[in-house]
Amino acid sequence: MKSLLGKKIGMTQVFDEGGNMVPVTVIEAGPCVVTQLKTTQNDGYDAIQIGFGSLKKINKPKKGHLKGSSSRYLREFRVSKPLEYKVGQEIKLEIFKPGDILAVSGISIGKGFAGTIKRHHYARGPMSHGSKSHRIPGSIGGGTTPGRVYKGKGMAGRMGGERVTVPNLSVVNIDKAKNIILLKGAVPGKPGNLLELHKVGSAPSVDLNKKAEAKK
Amino acid sequence: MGIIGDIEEAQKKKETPKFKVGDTVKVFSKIVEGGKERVQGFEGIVIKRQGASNRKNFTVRRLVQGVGVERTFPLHSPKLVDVKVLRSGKVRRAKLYYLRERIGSRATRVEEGKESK
Repeated sequence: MKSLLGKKIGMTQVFDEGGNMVPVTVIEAGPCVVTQLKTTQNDGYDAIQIGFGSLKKINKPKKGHLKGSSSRYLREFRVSKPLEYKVGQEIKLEIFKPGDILAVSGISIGKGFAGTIKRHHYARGPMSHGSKSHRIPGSIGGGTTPGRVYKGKGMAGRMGGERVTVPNLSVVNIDKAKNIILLKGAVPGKPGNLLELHKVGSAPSVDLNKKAEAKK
Repeated sequence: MGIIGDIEEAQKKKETPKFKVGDTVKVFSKIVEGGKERVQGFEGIVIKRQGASNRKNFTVRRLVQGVGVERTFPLHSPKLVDVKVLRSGKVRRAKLYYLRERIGSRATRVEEGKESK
């Protein structure tokens, strides 16, 4: 399994080996602890559960489950052979190296109740010359035929605060001692957001066979 | 300092060339041409300096055949070799955008000032 949990720290810019400035997201990733093994016999599927972060107070049920560690966040990742791992084993940033391609998932920033322009990129109406249709969505469909509004029609509503996966972020640098990883590009959420990091390939040319393997 | 501050600090050069807005400078930067690396010079007036930490940069403006050309260099870039001050200028603005509207010799004229320390 080439996945880790991490915390978004923020963004900055660094120079790469070629001297070019690269926009990077700084993520504190790992160390993660294996907290549970799930097998087909027991649970119907193969996966491992890993924990990240720390808790000051742990209630008794969680204490029994964590067996010594104090993970705040628990997430499951599918693996083909969960018995290769041990409960209590640490997974660190060593599983990634600069040049790898990662996919990062997290909860995006909540935008609240947003209109159609922000939520669905609709065009705005004229702001002047007697126009009153400044930010309205416009027509939402036909008349007597079909006599209803089609399902999936873009309208105003809650935006953001949902799980988003950003594919194709390359690893710029790794600080193993500090558990810091730098990825080229932006990731969902604000600083402090919990992120899942999955390795999906390695640079410079993404080998499709390896990509399929990593997905397994 | 925070984690990001440490990363930025590590990117900074120990010493950067000293120059001010209004100075006429020659900037030496590395460029890759046909697989080979060489140093290229760019001469002009510094019209702005901006940014903080490792993101500091400056813009140099010059006239090439009557057409204004501006290039922005990151101050801490490993590609930036040196900045030589040819003539120090005395200006009353932090940003010399007014030079963009000027034509002819007035576009490159900046009063001579004290040597920057």
